[in-house]
Amino acid sequence: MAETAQAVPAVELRGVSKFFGEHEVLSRIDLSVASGETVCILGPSGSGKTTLLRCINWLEIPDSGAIFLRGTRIGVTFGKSGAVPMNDRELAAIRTRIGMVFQHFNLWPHMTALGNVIESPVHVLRRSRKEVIEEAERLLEKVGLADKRNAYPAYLSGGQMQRVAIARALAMRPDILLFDEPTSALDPELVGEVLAVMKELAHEGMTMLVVTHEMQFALDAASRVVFLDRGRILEDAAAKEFFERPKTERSRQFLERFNR
Amino acid sequence: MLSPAALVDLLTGAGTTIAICAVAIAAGMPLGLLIAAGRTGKNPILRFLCGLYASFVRAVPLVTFVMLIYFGLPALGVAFDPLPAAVFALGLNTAAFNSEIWRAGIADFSRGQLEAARAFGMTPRMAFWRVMFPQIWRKSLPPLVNEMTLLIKASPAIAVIGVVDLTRKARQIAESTYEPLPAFFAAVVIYGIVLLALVAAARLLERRLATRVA
Amino acid sequence: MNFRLDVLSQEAPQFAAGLGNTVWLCGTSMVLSLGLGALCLVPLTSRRRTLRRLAQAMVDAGRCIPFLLLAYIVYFALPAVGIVLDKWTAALTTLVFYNTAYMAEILRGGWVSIPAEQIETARAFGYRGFLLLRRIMLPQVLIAVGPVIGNQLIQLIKDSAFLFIITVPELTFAANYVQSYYFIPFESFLVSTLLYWLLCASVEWLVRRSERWASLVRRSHG
Repeated sequence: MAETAQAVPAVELRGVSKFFGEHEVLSRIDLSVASGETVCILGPSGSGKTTLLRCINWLEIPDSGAIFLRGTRIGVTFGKSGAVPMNDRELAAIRTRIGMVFQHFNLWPHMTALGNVIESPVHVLRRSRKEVIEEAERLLEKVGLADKRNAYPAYLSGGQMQRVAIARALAMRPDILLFDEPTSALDPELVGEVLAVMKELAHEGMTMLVVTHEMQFALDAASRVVFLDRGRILEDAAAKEFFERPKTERSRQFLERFNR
Repeated sequence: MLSPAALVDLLTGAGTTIAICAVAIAAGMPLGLLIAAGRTGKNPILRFLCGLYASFVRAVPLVTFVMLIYFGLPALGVAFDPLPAAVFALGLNTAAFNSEIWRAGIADFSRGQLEAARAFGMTPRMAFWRVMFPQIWRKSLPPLVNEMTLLIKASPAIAVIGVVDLTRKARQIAESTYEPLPAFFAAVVIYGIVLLALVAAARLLERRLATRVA
Repeated sequence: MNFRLDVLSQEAPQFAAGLGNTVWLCGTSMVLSLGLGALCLVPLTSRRRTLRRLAQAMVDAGRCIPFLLLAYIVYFALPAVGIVLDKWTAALTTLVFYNTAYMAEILRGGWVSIPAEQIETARAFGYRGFLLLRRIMLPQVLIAVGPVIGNQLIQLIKDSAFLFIITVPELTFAANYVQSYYFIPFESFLVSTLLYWLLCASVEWLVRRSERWASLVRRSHG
């Protein structure tokens, strides 16, 4: 690749479509996320937001289109006989570069908070245990849970578990962080602590792609907003632009419901 | 292969096994319920004794228990013939396990329903039989049937006190014909059929109950 | 009745040896059958239906055989096809073979109880294959079914008593030996009964401790 004035986007989707049976969940999605951007994906329920996110790390497999991580094609490799699906090993390797925070946290219950954070870097990335522990403790401190490093998930609140999950994803030093409705499963009073961590990450320049219902977060922390409706991207604009001057009828309807 | 005479002989052993197990199971279920009632009742002495009985009998191998009853009890003045001893031992054994199943069912049962029954004027006994029991026996059916299969699988223990059950018959035939494989294989098949029939019947019963209550 | 405590204390070493053999036989076979049962998980959870069904049928069949009958087959019938085992190997083989079917079923039940999200999350972090099994799935499965394995161990201890019939010198054999030599059936069987009770009570205590861990894992699955 020749040096271009434009940097390679962290993640790029070209013409991605997905069907669940007859139902077209994603329809020719074109999306590009540059390094350091925080992009929020908004939209009504059933619009395909989560499916879009899960296609990026190949937890869902798109039916057509291409997805690139820093220029590397995800899910498909090109051999002598043309395009062929990636094997397990290659897929696993790519996934280590994509961090994911799940709606239901999905911490590993048989490990402590610290254990959860160091687990993948040590056993999948094969980094030195000592070095990883140091970094993990710094990350737990960053998310405000230094004192909970030896606690098991069963003894943590939802908000605490999600913050550990964020630290766990960060420990992999990924190229991008995907957030799948990170606060939807939390009690209202615990949402703030997680959003605070996410806001700080955004301000520090972490590349983030966030599916969320939290409009205030999108307004405060997102550099860009993508509005998805029935599998199509209806709007893709700077955050402020989207909230103040929505361009389509559907986006206006959507924002109306959330207007304070 | 097994001669027809040997097969018939083997089937008599199967008959012995089925008959003894059937009686033990039939006696063990209500006895288990009684013991469970004792364990969850108000009388602390009864609770302790029933708990002790259940814990003790469940911890002892059936072989040892059978020998204790047949060989050991006569020293205390209680003598049995082999067949009654077998039924007695199996019955006591399965009652202990059943009491644990009933006890779990009783403990799981929602207190709210009992409260409602009492509020409507039912005596504790009425509330038990008309409200609790119809529900817990349906729910306890799978573990109760499982216990029945366990009893049948443990029943060869009665051979040590001279009762000629299916397993002992198989060994006798194996030793008299010098051909162990056909005899033991046939025994495995017969046990398999009996257990399969039991489980299938239980599933049928479960299904018929589900359609009525649901 | 004259309770012969003197004979019992004299023959205490017999009982102790029998108890030791019971513990050794059951412990060893439980460990071995746990390993074999874990291997059975591969066909049991396979995505290929025929393989899965065949494996399940074999496990179900294995759980239908009475222990004593299996012991007879291993000890008396196998020689007819050329496999002659001494009583110790026969005992261990019977115990392992018998218990593996139960372990496979127990582990399978534990596997199924782990929410799919756990596997998915691990995959998202780059786990796959044997590493996924070893670090993420098996620990959770074992913790979840710990209490059930404990109960199965109690079953195994009780089934091991049948082995005295093929003259394996475990606890019931010791009791039978003492009672037939000294004509003290009640005392002898009572002692062995109490020793079995002690053994099982210890296992049950361990089960209760492991139940706390199991509920921890269960709670986190939400």
